[in-house]
Amino acid sequence: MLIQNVFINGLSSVSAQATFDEEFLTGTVNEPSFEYVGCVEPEYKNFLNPTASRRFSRIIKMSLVAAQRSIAMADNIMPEAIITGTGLGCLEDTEKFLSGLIVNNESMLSPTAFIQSTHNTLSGQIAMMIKCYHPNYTYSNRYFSFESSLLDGLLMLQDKSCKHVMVNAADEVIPAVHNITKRMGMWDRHESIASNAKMPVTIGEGVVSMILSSEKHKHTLAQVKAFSVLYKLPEGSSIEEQINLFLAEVSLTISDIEVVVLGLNGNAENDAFYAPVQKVFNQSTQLVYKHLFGESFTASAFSYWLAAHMIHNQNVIEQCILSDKGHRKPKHILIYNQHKNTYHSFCLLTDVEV
Amino acid sequence: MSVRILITGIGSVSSIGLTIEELTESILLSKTGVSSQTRLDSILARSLPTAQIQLSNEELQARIPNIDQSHIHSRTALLGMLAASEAVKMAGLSDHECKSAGLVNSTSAGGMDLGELFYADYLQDPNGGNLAFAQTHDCGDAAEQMAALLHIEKYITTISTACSSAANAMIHAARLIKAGICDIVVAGGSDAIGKFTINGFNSLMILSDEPCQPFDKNRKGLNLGEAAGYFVLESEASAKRRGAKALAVLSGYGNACDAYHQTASSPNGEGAYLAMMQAINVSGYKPSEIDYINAHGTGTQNNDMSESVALLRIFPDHLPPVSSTKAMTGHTLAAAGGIEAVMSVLALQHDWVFPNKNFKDAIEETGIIPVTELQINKHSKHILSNSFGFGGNNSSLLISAC
Repeated sequence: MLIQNVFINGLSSVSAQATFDEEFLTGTVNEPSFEYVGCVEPEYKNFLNPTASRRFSRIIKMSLVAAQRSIAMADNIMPEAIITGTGLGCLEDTEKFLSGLIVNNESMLSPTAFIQSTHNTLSGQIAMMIKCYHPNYTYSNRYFSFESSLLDGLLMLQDKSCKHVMVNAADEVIPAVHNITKRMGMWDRHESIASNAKMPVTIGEGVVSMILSSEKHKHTLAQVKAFSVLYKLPEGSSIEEQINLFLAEVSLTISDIEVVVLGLNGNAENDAFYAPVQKVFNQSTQLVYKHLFGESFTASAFSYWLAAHMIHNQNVIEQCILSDKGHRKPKHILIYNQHKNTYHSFCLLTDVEV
Repeated sequence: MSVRILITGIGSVSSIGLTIEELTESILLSKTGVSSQTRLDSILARSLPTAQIQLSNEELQARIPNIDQSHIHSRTALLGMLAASEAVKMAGLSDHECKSAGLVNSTSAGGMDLGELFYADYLQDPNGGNLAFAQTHDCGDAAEQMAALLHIEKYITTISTACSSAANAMIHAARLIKAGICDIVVAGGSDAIGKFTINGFNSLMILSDEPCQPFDKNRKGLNLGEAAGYFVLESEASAKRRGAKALAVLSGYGNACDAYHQTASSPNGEGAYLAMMQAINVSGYKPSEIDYINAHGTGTQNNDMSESVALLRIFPDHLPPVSSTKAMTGHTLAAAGGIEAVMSVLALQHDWVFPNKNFKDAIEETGIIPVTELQINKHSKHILSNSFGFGGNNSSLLISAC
């Protein structure tokens, strides 16, 4: 889908890397491990009312501070929609309430954990924090959780029902879920290594918050030029064909793309589906990010954070390079994520002047 | 709206009917699904009235002929599959047409019914519990299973905004169609009752120990129910191409945030007011053209007061007939907006206005008296259907006759 006049005017992230203070952009790297790496969390008391946030779980606090910062970057506009994608929602509160009801045999339960366990707690709490009466949505559909949120936000801007939307991604890891996903053979560094995947990846967590606006302003990081999602490739089509169709809509060809950001996740079966794309873009600089940010249903949102900053700073983030083709200045970045040949998403970010 | 969004198929399953036909019969008999009968193994479900579907997961599964037997399905997925396949069948969609369609599902608790069984074993032993149950826990599992059953391949997603989920799914679907991303979208919501949900609502002290009494001054709270309600939404061009008959039109929609409290509605009903006004404005009709309002009306002190205030703000002089159907179906959470919109389509088709059962006395401050008996000759052109959820998430759909 061709996108007209959509600019990333605010962007913030809390992740396993130093993204909130943006130190990551200067080359600082937190080395990942076999255990999940918790986020580099800010001093919440510097941002949130301590009495109000005392009961909040980490995912809520991370979401609130990232939202605050992306709004501040976008000149403190009031977003006309708040849309959050979360694959697993507020796990800490879910577990608290669930274990309470099992252990206490359905009695003596405090409502706080239940209230905060619902998926739309994040969008709802952001709205309450900034008194935003505008539309408020939450998407939770595995590897499209963030992409559906972005799509909905783009559609609202394109049909001109609003000028500024906030689009967020959020997921948190709790030890039980790390253990359970490990047992499932998902998102596990041991499994990555055992399967001879090129790049070991561990389960990850974090939030990204962005303000998309139909107007440029002095802090605009990048422009969203095209976006497309496909749950499965149409029958008889190939990923190569889909990429060409996607670029043709914006009158670009493969050689125009200086940088591609790919969602390889260290699972050999999954990463095999990136191989044809890597081949197509063999003249572009190829970046990966999940080895540093971890894998989750909304990890793809970090690729947007990275790409927007690279466009803005006109340089490539070294820590993420998979294969380098001589550092052409990134003016057109294609973000491509998929999961085992399903949940394909393409996004083209460009320079604001382009 | 520039592009008319047509409704070409509906499907529902609830405590008052496993098909549209059964639902229709139950409405004519003004039946209620609220009872003390429980299938769920829960202390609370045995002591409080609920509106459960009295079939086991195995019995539900047996009603879905082409289901993938190798996968364990959560109850939420099973209910969704039943209702969505009915809608797809009614719309006459072929497998081929489904391939290029979208699915916008919605649920509040997803596969929590199996997730909580898994977690009880997991608590005893971190290597215990059936992983196949855990795999259904997240909201997206049901959508993937439904897409596989219905052969939907282009786009799938799931909305989870508590009790306004299904209404929001219809809104997202409408935007997809307007933008030309999909011509056809299957949209709706599904929720099953599990221990997590019933204990959660109980901890908030908003469950009634009697059949709920929406809009009554002595209302004591809500009764939980389980259901699924789905639609086939389609662009006019697509319906024309297929020769599909439209049942009704999704002529307006609105979503707004109350931004007041995580679980309570504001005293002035701001979110509800904004959502309804938006739905009316999007449609281009006037408030005076609304013939009937299928209210959210849960039977809690807070919702019914706040919704009443919002209604009176929009309709200060003449309030159209209002009723809540939750005394028939229970509050079916994410599915509520789906099944109530399905009922709104039936109301348009059959010239019905539904009864707000168990109502006796009006709330003194607002004086709203809902319709209490089924009206069978009340022609409507435009019906407003409200769904309000936690996080102050308020949605309203305007469903119009073709």
